[in-house]
Amino acid sequence: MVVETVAMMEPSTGGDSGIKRKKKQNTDVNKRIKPPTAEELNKLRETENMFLSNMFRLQIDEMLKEVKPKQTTLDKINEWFDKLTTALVQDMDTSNYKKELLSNVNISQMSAPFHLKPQNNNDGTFRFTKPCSLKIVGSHSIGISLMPLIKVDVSIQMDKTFFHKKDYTDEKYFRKKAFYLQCLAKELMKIPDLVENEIQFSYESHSYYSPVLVIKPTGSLGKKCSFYLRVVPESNIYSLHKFSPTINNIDCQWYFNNGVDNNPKNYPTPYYNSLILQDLIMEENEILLKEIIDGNQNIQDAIILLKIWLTQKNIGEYGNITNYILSLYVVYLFKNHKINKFMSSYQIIRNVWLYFGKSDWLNDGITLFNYESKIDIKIPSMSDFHSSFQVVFVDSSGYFNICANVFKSNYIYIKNECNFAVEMLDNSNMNSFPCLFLTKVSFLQQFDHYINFKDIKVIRNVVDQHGDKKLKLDLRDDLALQFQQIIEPILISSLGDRISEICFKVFQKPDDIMTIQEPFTDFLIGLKLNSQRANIVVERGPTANLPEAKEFRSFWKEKSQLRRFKDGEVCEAVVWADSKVSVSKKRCLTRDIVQYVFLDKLSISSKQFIYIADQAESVLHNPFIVPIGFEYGTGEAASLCCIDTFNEVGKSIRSLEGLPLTVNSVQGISPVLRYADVIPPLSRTHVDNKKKRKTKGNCILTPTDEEIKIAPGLVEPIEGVLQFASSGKWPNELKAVRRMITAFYINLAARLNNECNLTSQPFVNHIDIMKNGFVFRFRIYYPGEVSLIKKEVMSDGMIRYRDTVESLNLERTMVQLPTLTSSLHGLHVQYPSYGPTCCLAKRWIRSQLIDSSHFPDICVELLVASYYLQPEPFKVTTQPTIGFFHFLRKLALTDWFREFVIINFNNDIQKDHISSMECFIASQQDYSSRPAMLLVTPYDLDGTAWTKEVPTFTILARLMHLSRKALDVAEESLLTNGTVDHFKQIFRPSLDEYDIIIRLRNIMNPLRHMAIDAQMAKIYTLEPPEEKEKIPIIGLNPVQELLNVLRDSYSENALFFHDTYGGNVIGVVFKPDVLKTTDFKVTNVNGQKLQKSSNNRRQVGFNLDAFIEDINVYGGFIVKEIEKCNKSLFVN
Amino acid sequence: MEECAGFKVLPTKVNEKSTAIRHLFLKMHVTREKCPQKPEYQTLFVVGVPEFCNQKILTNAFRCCGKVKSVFFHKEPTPIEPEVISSKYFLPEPVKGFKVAYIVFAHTSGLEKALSMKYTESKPFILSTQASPVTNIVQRWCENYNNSIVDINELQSEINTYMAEYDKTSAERIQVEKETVDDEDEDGWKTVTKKGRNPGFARKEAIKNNILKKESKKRSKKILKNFYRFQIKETKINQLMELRNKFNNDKSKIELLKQSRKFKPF
Repeated sequence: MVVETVAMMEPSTGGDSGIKRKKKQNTDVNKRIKPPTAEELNKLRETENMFLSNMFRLQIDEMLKEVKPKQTTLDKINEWFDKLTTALVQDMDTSNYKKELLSNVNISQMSAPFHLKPQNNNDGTFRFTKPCSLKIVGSHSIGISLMPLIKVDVSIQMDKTFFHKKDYTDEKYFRKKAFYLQCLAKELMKIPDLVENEIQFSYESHSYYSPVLVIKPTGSLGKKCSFYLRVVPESNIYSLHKFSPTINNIDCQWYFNNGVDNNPKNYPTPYYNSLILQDLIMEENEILLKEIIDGNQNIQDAIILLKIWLTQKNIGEYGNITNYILSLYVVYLFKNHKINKFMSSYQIIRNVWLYFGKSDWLNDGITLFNYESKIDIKIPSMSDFHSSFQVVFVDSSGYFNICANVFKSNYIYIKNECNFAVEMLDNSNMNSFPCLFLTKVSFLQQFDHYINFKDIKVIRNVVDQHGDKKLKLDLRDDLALQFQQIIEPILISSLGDRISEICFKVFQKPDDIMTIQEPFTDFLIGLKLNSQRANIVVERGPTANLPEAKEFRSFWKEKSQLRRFKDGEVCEAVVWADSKVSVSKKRCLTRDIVQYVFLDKLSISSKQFIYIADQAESVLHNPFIVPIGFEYGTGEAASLCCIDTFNEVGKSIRSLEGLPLTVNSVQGISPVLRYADVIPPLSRTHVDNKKKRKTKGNCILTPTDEEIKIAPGLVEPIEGVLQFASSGKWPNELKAVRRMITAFYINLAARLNNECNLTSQPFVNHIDIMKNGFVFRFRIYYPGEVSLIKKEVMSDGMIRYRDTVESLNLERTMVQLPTLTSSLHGLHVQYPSYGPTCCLAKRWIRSQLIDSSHFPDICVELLVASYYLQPEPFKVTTQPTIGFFHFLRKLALTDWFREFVIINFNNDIQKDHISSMECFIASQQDYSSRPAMLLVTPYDLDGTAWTKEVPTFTILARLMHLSRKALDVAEESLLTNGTVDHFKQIFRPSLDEYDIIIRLRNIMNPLRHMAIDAQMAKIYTLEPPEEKEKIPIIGLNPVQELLNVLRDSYSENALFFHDTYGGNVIGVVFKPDVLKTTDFKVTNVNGQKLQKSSNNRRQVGFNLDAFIEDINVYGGFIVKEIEKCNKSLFVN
Repeated sequence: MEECAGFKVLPTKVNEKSTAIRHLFLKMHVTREKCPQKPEYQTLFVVGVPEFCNQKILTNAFRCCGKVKSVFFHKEPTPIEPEVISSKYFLPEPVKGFKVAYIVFAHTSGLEKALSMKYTESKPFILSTQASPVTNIVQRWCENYNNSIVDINELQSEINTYMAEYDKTSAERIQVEKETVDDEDEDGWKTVTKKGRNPGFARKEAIKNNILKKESKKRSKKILKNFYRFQIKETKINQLMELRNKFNNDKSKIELLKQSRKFKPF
């Protein structure tokens, strides 16, 4: 609207005098408001209407620029292709090749990449001849190929002398094609300077029986593109109706070779037929595509965008919706007037996603064939297609199902992804572009549970025993589809609504030409769990007297039992676990079910496949302590216990009557209160009957006469904040306020001791309260205290308020942390995997010896929360192991120099604020002036509250490197090995790069039982707390103390690294310039020593000996050994 | 002793068994502002004191030069008088890490002796002896922990006396303010306080800013904004500018993303 008014206004201001006057006024202003050109106006208006936003349009433009091949490359490709054509069509000498009978082929010289079963064919001959022509087809020919590795599809046309009349039956067609490609490969290698020597057979989305030959041009061109060669017959060689889905083209007798079958029944072979059809109709569909794309830049761009989107989804293998299918779908939509040539690329992709999301190709397939125009009685009907294939999209010839080998589940998955993509576009609170096109989505991050079959023998066995004979004939050794057809119904009927999505991924690597390949190497199944239903321990079946009950019983066999439910009905049911088992076990019920069903129905034992679900979570277990009243699992029950007791204590405090001021709120700040404590405190007795300890007040004193030689168990208080109703009676001086607060502690403790029977002890700065064997520590927050700290009196008597380090600290812990705690607690309740994911993330970071002084706990929690609050392009996972992968990904892929993290609770951060932040960060040139990490929450819009000093860019850079490695290793480990022990390697740090390693005495480490590879002599069973127990020694962690002292003294010279959770080494890294001598200054002599340099100048340098001695002086009994690793530092 | 930039360099060892030589830098304490607790010619200024050196250790170590009256620690050299701590419980945070020490001798001779000590690298000054051993962190932690558990009654009574004192002084202040409400000085000027019939406003920065804002608002109300044609034109132009600006902002964002190679999808 605005643009329009300005355009209207233009003539009136266009008068010469007006412009002149402005020029006089200010040349600068004049430059700024130069009149908009028509083009600019159009573009601005178009953007408003046809694209989501300026940003979206610009981003599309930039990305297309990146992926479109350059003209010079295209020219080079064409030039090379001409060379290849002449070499093959004109110059190639095929006279050496004799005509051979297919039944007589010498296997040692000639083989196909697939198994030849049965080996001898009845008839047919093969002779290697020159092709009649070569042609670039597919995406490259219509200009939608993508950089950086351009794939050029080439079809090699063979004439009628090569393909015989009857060749299409009994696999002869495919064998001849494979033999031909193999001979061709050998010939190509003879030609000098044409192709690289590594010629391979590749499958990608192709069927096992029609591999393509991948060749790379020599020289630099080979790095930019590769050619995919396939053999096709001349058009019109076979009539299409021979390949209708109802026709049989393989002789049953020939294949099964069972000699005397009394009832030879030739089943239809739709899959086999469609493989041949694919070659025959290629040209026709190609023309169709070209017709619509040519001269229509927007459609071309849209197809490229869709292609990028699909590639990023990372499921391009066999059984999926391919680029080819999507491009033909664009054609379909165009023909049906759902998109037109006036639409922008953005509008086209949006429509494609929209219509794909609504489609139902499982039951109501679509067709490009116009049934009205041609009257051909042989054309198969849609119902023929539906009865033969899972997913139906018929091409323009009316015979070929483009989606012949698409898996049902994968189609549904892509459909859901389309809906998800539209949702993202419509979400105005996010920048959807990078999520849709720029984020590579690893398969292992998309689902919750995975099943991986690595052993082809297992699959072959299953297919042999449970496969359908009809499919066995149709697909023969192409096992993927057969296996999917067996396993999918079993998974769906056994898991039911526990899962919301299934997706299959078939791995196949390209291999050298002379090797025979198996149909695939890995068969990976991804399961997305339905968080509402997946954890239910009792599977309720039909009512006992219904006929379905019989079916239910026969499926579950001995697992099925009759149960009376709360509503009074007696139903069939399967009980998978006791309702009291830990949450971590409940999360893996799906695994139990899958393992049971696979064993029962398919006799696959759990050792024959890898089930990926909770491998990482084992590091959260507490193997040496048995808690009271619940199973420990991954600690959720322990946290819940803490939270409940905390609330009870809060209630007791609130119930006290007649306090000088009423308690307004009781809020928690400890991580355990948001389920994020790796080692949550456990309810237990602290009474030690062996030793009598001195006491004072309600506390046990530490022994001072003897040195502690064994660290007692660490008791950490659960902290909270009390806030009183506001009052005008508070004093107006900081010291007086502090004394008043302490007086409150004394008062509160006395009342709690007497009235609530809670052991409590006041301290100067806090109050400690015991309940159920937990220690709670409360502080009182009085807002006036903050302003008193901030208060400054200026010289003229003016009073002003300025933030100080102390006031900010106070506000952080007393105001922001309680708010965050309740928000994050809410997040965990919404997504129960949040807490354990935080714990895993913390555990991993700490295991890399990066403790909270390098990377604060709350930052880890907020980073994890950012994934849960805005998971796009992923979905929130229910499995902490997968959540942990997302954390690693976030850490590894965020560009910390240019990005900030948004943790948008309740979407409270305004869009404007985010974009102004973006601009601000963009305009900043100097990164060192701001915190390395910005965590923007609705409570802290600058995002600097928690990250002002740490983490530094150095630490972030190291973590980026480590997380990238860890992600690779972890995924590899899960897919190939799958055991917990193998997976744990990412939690074992390398100690190579430290200058000094301080080895600690394990016995002095109170958390030694939680180390990753901890070994303890016995398992402790906790005893319940006693009545009126004294408050135990709180917070004695000698290792942490040592670290604090060393950091206090030497943080300018060195960095200290330690694993908070039971680590028994401290790694020391000196800062790079530590050994440089400097001139004497009073401010820089700490830890330094006078050193005489050669020219007798007096300078000071770092006192390394004293540093090492200090470790021993401070550490005492804790330090076992100091290992000097950096030899260059310790030459003397 | 060697000298360096006006400081004497004292080679030291932690205790007899220790092998590492450390350097302490000593100097006579001289400042412009006089400070009664750190008297001139009696106070030794020491830089680079390790954290484990507490009052007891330093007092004992420098006993050899003369009687030590007191030792003050600071994080950095400071002319500020060490605070007199009247309370037993409300203590300032102890200094962490390396620190500077002011050692006050009972006599000037102590300082002279300290500055003329003769210790060498091979026979260094020993900081900690049997009488004042260096405590490791666990012992220190235990000590602090036990100290933090306070006697409640004593604490309460200390608070009571403090608050009584506070109440008394603040009551007095209010009294004085009240009494002086209508007092004129000899030139006829009145001091405006918060009390009385016409109380003045508090002298706070926020209030001052508020008043200034109100003033400027009042002023701007008097100016007509869309009266002349050029003004209307200008607002329209500004709207266009805004649109363009947004576009340019987006462009610069893209430029930045481009720099970080964000548009390579693969």
